[in-house]
Amino acid sequence: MLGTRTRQAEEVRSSTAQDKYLTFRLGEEEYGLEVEKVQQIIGLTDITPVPRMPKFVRGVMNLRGKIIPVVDLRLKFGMEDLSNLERACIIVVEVPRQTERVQIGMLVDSVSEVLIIKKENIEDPASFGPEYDVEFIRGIGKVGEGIKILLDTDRVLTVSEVASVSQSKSGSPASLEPVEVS
Amino acid sequence: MQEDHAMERLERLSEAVVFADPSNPKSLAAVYPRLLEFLDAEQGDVPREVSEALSRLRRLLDKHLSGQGPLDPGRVVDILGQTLCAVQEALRQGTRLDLSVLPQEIGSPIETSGRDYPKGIELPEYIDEAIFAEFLARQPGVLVEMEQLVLALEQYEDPERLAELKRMIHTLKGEAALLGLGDVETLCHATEDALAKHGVVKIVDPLLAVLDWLNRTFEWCSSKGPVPEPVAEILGVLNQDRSSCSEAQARRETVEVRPVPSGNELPSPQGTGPLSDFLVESRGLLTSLAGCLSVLEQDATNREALQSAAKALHRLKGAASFVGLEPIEGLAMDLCQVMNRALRKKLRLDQAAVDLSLECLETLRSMVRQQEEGSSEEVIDSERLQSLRDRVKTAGLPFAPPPVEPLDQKAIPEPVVEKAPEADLENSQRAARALDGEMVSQKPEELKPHAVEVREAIRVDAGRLDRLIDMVGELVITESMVAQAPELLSVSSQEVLRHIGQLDKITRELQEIATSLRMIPIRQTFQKMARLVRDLARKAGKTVEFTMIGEDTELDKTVVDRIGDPLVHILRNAVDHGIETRAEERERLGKERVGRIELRAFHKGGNIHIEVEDDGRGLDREAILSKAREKGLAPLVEGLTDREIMALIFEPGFSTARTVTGVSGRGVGLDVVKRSVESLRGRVEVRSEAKKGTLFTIQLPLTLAIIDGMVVRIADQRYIVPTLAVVRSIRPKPHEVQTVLNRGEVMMIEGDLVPLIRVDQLFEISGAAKRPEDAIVMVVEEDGRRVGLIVDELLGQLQVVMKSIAESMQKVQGIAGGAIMPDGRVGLIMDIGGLVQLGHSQGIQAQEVEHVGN
Repeated sequence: MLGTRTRQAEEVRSSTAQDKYLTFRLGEEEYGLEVEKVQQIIGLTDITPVPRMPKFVRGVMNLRGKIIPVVDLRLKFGMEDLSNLERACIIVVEVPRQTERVQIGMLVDSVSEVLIIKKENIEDPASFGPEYDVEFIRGIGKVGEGIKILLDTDRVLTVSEVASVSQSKSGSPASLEPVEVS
Repeated sequence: MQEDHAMERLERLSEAVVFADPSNPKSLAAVYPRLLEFLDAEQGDVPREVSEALSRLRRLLDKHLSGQGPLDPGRVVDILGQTLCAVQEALRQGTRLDLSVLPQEIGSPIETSGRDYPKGIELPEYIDEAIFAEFLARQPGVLVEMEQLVLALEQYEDPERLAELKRMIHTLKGEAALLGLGDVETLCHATEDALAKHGVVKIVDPLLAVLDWLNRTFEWCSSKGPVPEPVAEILGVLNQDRSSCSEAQARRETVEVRPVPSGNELPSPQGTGPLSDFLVESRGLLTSLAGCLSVLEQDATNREALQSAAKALHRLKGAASFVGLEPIEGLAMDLCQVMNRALRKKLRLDQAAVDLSLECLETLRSMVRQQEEGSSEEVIDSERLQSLRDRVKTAGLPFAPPPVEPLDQKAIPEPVVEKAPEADLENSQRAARALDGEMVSQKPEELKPHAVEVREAIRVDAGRLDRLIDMVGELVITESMVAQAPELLSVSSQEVLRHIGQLDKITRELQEIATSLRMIPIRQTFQKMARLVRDLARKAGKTVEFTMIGEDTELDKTVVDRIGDPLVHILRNAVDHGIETRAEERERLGKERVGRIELRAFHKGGNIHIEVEDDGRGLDREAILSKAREKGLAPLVEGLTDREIMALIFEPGFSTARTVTGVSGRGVGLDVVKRSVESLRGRVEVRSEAKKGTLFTIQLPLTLAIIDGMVVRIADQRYIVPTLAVVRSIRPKPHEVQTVLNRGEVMMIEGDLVPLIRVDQLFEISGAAKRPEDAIVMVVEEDGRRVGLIVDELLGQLQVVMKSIAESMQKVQGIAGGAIMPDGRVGLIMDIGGLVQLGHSQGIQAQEVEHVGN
């Protein structure tokens, strides 16, 4: 009984959440990602650089005792490094990795607002030209005069991508067993 | 005086009776503890008749409280009142209590002390209290599980669930039989019969009644509840709707009805069916059996081992019979019988008997394995199995008198005991009960249930446990961040400071508990070693006395699981190459003929040490040296200390054994040991004296989660180097560092050319010291290779909780993990092995080749 009720509640909640997007700025562009993917937003904290990682991996940070990686979306999208970090934020999202879900921080210029963008206002990225037709762009949302580039977080931060970059860089196969921490 | 005490107790008892509300049956329960109190107290101070009267009251209450009493509550209160009045009167007057004046319901003792009445738990003498307590601790969980099964089956008769229920009842029956709980055993048996006859749906209520009765019985056994009603009543409930059939018939029927699927029809082992349950269970049982047997080999009369062996075999028998694996069932039964007879001192286990038991163990193992693999191929044909069983039946020697000289087992044909072990047990129980009954009639205080302390244990999901341990680790860090916050210095409130002190104390304690949660005794691994040494020695034709010390030393579970392989290697070496082949050789050297190997585990300086010591040949220094030269392993062997020479045996491809035996000397050797110990962040060392023996020491951290680290600075970044890897740190002088072939730098340290690694270059950190003389060379060792890491500064030592950073990224080469530093930031822990490899690929192979020769 209880189970069904919670499930129903979940459905109601998620159906409304589907249209909600958290928007943020990267340079002059506005981006958005589904609110339900967002775990929390924190101000810029100390990030420890991790060697031999692609440039866009800023490093790792301490999120309440867990160590999570931080990806700089500017660098990821080939933009210039942000000089003024005053308003910079880290959006913590959860992305799937094999069987589990892991948390990843995304460094953005600033967080704007939460918007409701209805499905009918979202267009196929391909129609905006080939430069938008990339795997991790989910669609282009039209809000008033402006557009928001809606990201597919699951893909924008796929591990395989992170991994492949790091491997091509180190140039030698991983040698030791993965470290197990109990 | 004595009477006064008794009077006081009586007073309290009467009070309870007065307050009892006849209309509320539960209120009578409050009387019960008072009554127990009276009876439990020293019995010497009241006349025998008084105790008798009160014992009768207690039985009346027992019956009444368990809902079986024929009387209404009002009448019970009356009886209580009247009896207590009479007792008080008698005590006050100092006269003898006339039992005949008591209310007629309890006037005669016969009615309440019928044959089926449980008479307090009298454990068979061979049963350890601890085993009984463990059994009792498990039962509530088992009963709840059974209840759930029954209820689920009421809805839908799922054959798998039914099988599970039957298996559980059968197991309980076996355990009860072993523990001498005759009533429980009888009831379980009857329940099995009833299940086979009627299925579940028709007898749900009786089944639940059975479970309730069992629950009450176990509560009573743990001194938590009143005496349950006699088993006969509950048997009556169970058999209500059954035609009168003799037990023998029922037994036969059971066999027919019970599903006996052949091996091929059984569900696959991956499933959750009865077979997979059986496989899981039997694996555990066989392991514990193996442990017991190795103990028995040393000491054939060890009761604990015999008991556990008998228990394991009995359960195996039950489990096997349940899934219809008759060969396993039969063999387990025969062997169980041998153990039981040895327990009852009817037979003495000799070497041949232990060997035979081990053979049985192997056979059982392979039969189980065959089921696991699902192959239909017979592991052992029925003829051989029969002959094995026949031999088992005649195993052992009569207990007394001990034979003057070892005799061939066939020379003394032991009369085959036809009775099944349970039947045998039953008899002895009956005898015990009869004896018990006699004692009861004389000394009513013997009615006291056998009290055992029950320690409760909860099985917890390992993942949750790890998360808890993680969180405690975080708490410790956060706490120290708070406690060391500079703002606190300005706080003058004593109160706050005291609270912080208290917080600190609690946090430390919590951390201690958390670390201990994952710790288990190393016993399990040690037991396997005992067996291994025995088999190896036998194969090599050597006599070896194997001793274990500190099996109870606790280690992280991961370590206990993974330390087995290195130990196997070391022990193989000890048996194969350590201990002299011929006893004469040992005698000539003034040693005992029997070789000695000792396996020890103990705490030392915050670490766990595991040592393997043998008194064999010892390591031949010259042989190692010449081997090293031959292999080109050590270009500078001449300057090495003894210890360094010994350490060479851990190099890959190193084996001084002249002959290759079945198990060791094949070139894969101690380097594997070293590597696996190091993967547990441990260290292995060897010390040896020629002709005297060898000592291997494995040093392991207490837990894997916390590591000792040295914090170093490179430019503006901090890294943690595991302290275990650090050999020393030097500030080099300008001329000491040389560039080789323009490809890498080396430094001469203690006559060794050590390649240097510029960590800043590998990790692409800018701003680090350019000249070596401005930096520090930290010499680290990994896999026997030494390298020098160039870092800017040593910042100090630190204990950190190691965490994975690879959860969301692929493994980062050169980084073993991360840790939250005391300032809350993340510090990265260097992986020395990875760094060395990285260094390699960046062009310092030249020196490496020269250094280690591979």
